[in-house]
Amino acid sequence: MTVTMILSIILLVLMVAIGGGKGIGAFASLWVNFGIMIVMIMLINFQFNAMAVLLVGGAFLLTITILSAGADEEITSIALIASFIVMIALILLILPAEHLAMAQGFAEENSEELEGLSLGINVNFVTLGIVAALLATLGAIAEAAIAIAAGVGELRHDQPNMKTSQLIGSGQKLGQQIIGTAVNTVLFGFMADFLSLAIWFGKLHYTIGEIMNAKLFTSSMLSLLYAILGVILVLPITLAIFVYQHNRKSNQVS
Amino acid sequence: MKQYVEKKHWWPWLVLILLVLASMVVLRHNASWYRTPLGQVTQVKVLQSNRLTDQYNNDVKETTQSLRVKLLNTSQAGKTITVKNTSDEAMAIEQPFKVGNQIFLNRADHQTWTVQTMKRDTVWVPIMIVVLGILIISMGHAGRLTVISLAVNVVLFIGTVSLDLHTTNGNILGLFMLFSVLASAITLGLVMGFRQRQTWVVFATVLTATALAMIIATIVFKMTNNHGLHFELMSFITQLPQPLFMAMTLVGVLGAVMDEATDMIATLFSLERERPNITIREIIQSGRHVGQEIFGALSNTLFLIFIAEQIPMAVLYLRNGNDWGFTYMMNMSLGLVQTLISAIGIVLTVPAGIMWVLLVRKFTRVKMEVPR
Repeated sequence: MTVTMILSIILLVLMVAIGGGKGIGAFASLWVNFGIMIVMIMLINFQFNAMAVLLVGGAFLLTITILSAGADEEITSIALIASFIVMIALILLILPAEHLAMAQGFAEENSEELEGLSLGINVNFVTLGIVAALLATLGAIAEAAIAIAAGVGELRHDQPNMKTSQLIGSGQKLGQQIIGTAVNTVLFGFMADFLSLAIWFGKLHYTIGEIMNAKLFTSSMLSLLYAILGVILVLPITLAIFVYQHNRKSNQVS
Repeated sequence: MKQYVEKKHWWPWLVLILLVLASMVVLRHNASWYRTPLGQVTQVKVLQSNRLTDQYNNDVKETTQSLRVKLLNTSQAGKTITVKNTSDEAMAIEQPFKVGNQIFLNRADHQTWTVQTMKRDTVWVPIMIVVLGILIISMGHAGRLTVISLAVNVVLFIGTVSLDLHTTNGNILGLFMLFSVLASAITLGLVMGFRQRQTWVVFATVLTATALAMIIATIVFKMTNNHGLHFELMSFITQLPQPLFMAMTLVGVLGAVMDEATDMIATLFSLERERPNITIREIIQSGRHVGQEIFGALSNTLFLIFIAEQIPMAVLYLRNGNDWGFTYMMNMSLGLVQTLISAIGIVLTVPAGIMWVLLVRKFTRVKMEVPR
């Protein structure tokens, strides 16, 4: 048996033992997302419009990740709407930023890996860079959306007659804690990915100016910044959805 | 009600906009800060373009530009030179340039210059200022603490990497274990307070869960003789790949485990405060309840960070006529193993956290009961 198989079995056993039915859901969501990713790569490879694949596939990835939390229907739908809105907002930032930074594809640091590969392929690497950058942010966005929606939902459940301003105030306080830890999760994830390149830069005595302008550093840095921004944006958007619902309900009552 | 809503000022946003604009202006005019020759493109002429085809039905247009570049630094500042630049539509490595682009140059010999890379800090530094600014302005005190913890962790990371570089045959995994202990203690202390008991319960949970996940991974690697693992396929290898892989996995799992342990133990502590007579069974139950809700989403967060980055390379492999099995093995198998180890750590946080909360409870109960 391969390492991947044994680790998967250990993970499944642990998730079921600790999470029960929800644990199976969490385990399955990883593999469903892996499948979605493979289908997306396949469609891009067949030269479907990459931006369309990104939008549809991204929406699927968000949905599966949010469903994996197993929250009730109302919380799930609020988290979904909020995360979709954040995804669209990020695309609006990523598109111009990636075209300006031109940090797509590969650099001379990759030359060993690229040996024997034909680089002039029919798919544009700027587009591929946009796809990769956005997908890397989606997990963090989904996680923050579900945590914030669940927390604010509980607040509302405890005190249904809360004023709108109170809901915003307590929601903000709760959301800030969630964002603080989520931002660090994202940072550590990207540092893990960047570690081998960081050592490479150090061993080959890159100057600070060279590192700051290197293609591979810039693309990692931009992805990290998009992910942090996505997590931050989740809070105001989720709160706005709650306030919208809240106001509609109180209008109906009066 | 007032105590909840912090006063909103408009002037921090104005300061942020001014800072961003200032950084853009500075980064367009700071050529003297760099040792590498930097120039600005003043004129672009297309010399020739032709189609480029390969045996895998790829067909792209290749263009050679002749660039007039005005040097901005070094002793030759002000001089205008001519540089040739060839790129194709896919833009895998090279790219076409436009008038106004600033580029770093190499001097091949007295007459010939080549393009090294584009000046990119002009783009990401202003975006970084925007993101950190929003964090600080919109989240007040919590935002400032978050920015401080981000900065501390980045500095620790750079410090650990340079320690590894300065020690010959440095033990990178050992160094990053030290990093993990320091980074989690400081991050948690900053967010929750260094004198809070809760902080140290979370800290103990994080170390336990992370260590268990790494130990399980090591045992599985040993048992199977790394069956199906190809550490030599990692990118940017300059040293023994397996310890480097373990160090990378350790850093990745740490953030997620801190995230989950913080949420879970905060809930358990507030439960204990509200209902001091809560039973052990109820603590276990609510701990599992909180854990279940997060661990799927957290595992997916890391999965997407680790795998999404490989998409360009995977597409390149497929467009070069490779099959899926080979493409997966070369580009994704290690990221998937990393995800699985991280997910195991994330799940183990739940029992580890419950264990530490119960231990602390037992210890403090005994202390309270003794004087009676």
